[in-house]
Amino acid sequence: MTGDVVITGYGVFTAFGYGADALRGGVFAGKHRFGPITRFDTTGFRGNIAGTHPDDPDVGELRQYPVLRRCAEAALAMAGLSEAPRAPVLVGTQGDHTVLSRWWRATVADEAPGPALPGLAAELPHQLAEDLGLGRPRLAFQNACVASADAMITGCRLIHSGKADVVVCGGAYVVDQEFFAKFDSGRACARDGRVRPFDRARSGLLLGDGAGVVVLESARHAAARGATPLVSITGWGLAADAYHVVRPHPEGEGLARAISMALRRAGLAPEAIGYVNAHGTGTPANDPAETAALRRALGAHATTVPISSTKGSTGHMLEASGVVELIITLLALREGTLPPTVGLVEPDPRCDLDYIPGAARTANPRRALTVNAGFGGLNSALVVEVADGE
Amino acid sequence: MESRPTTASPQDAAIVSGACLAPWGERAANLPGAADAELPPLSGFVVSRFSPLVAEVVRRCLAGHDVAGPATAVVLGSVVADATTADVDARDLANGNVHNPLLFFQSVPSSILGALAKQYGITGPMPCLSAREALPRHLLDSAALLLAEEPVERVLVIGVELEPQPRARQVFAELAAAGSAVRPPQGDVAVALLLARPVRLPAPDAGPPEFGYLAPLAALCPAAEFTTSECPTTVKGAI
Repeated sequence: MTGDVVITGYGVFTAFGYGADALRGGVFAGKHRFGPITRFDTTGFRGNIAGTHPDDPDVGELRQYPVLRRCAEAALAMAGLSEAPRAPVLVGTQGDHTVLSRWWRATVADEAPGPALPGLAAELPHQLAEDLGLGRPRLAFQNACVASADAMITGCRLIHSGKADVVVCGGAYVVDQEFFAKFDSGRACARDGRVRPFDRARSGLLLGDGAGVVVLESARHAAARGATPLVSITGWGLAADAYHVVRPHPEGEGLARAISMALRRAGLAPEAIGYVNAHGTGTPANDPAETAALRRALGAHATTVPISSTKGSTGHMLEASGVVELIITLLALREGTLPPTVGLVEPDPRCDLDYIPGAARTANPRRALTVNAGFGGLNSALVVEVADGE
Repeated sequence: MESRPTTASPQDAAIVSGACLAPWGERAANLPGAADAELPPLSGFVVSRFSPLVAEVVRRCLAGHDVAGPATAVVLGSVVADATTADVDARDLANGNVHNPLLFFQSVPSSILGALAKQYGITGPMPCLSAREALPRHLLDSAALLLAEEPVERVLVIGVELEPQPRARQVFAELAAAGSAVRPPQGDVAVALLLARPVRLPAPDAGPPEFGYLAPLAALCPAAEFTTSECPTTVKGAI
């Protein structure tokens, strides 16, 4: 099948703020927002750097649900959907762990702990559907850094199979003390306070705020109501490495399979891809494995296609990575500007592809790939195309 | 601990195999036939019973079945997921201690799927889902969606829930107060079903009530009776 799943609206949030303009002024301008964390106490941790957005004085501290809701409202408004009462709601999230932290702080202090339900992952899609009048199912995807990509792929399947005309898909992660502590204890964070994807000096990832929502729609449904598709999703693939609990396969086997599956579904040869938004975490293990996967899946075209990791700009948005990076890819296709790999100065010899160092590049690809990988050796790939007629 | 072996029932040949585990912790001491037997340890996973429970129910479900390759998908579902790991981490932090680095890897439910993927050579899609209503039905619907897509030929559906500890108990209580029909289990429970075709979920009141909201999924396990007296396992508690 080609072209029967389209995106008609999106809403996005990163450390640079809400919306496409924030992405243009940050990710596409080659900037980053990494700095000392002020959102919570980092005493006792090895590091204290993340890509965070300042708290909004109007709404107070940043939390997953209000950020996600604002993205969803923007996406539905862009899609021109005043209501979507039958739209499934699929959200990549581990839940709001600030609720968990506060529950335990109160309990340890022998105080009343307050509500626990708002911290449940499944509460986000449920609350979003309740507040915005959306439909069922309301599912949280918890498969780590492919979670929102999996949510979108599931949305594509629902539309492709005729089970839904409209699906609201997204993901959210707001830098919190719980997950910062996990990554800090796991020594996964960059030692020098910068994310350097594919660079010789890379030393790890840094967490970053992120959320995104896309309105997936069948092309027929969008056409029937006169909506303008922004892009089509024509291929998708999910595959596991079967190699290690958390480490990626060093030859990128699972990711290569996910990419090949997505290309096959889209009916495309590798040469049809004009841009790749890479997972590119800046960890020692990921980047060469991803390079190997791209070589394996794209063959000789891997050496010529422009590729960038935008995590050097946004940081790692965990469960939100897939959807935010798809929206970045969407912008790249529609505006003819490929975002750079911020932090890449001296490439690792094992990461020898065209990773767009320095500054954004002008190009006009019609089709792009966006890929992610996560704990469990899980891998995802989506093929995004300029919508027919453009 | 009860295991349901793998013969397809006349009721539904789409179910290739199934297994249920109901280790009751300290409650097992009062059950007829209770015996001391902990879940087998799982390398790399500590403190919490969540991942060992998943690994064991899958081991029993997949015994004698070759599921290697991209034709097998896995769908893991849990309302609260690994609350023990989350609670231990959060409690440590609240007490002013740093996180245990051993818990970093197991803090997301997809990590245990990585271990299973390696053990069984499974390379298909592996979503991990949570929902605050009708999770068993959503797991089966997800399986059906995956089965409709090449190259998937079978889906391993896993439902797992730990016996709720204080915070998770509060989650279930707040769900009930909000009108949710989701019932917590009366112990650590897990169900695994290997499906070759889509199946429908039985009525919500089907299955052993001790399995809480997972009871209808447990009712699909083929060819075994369900009595708690056949669940003789005790397991260590972490919190």
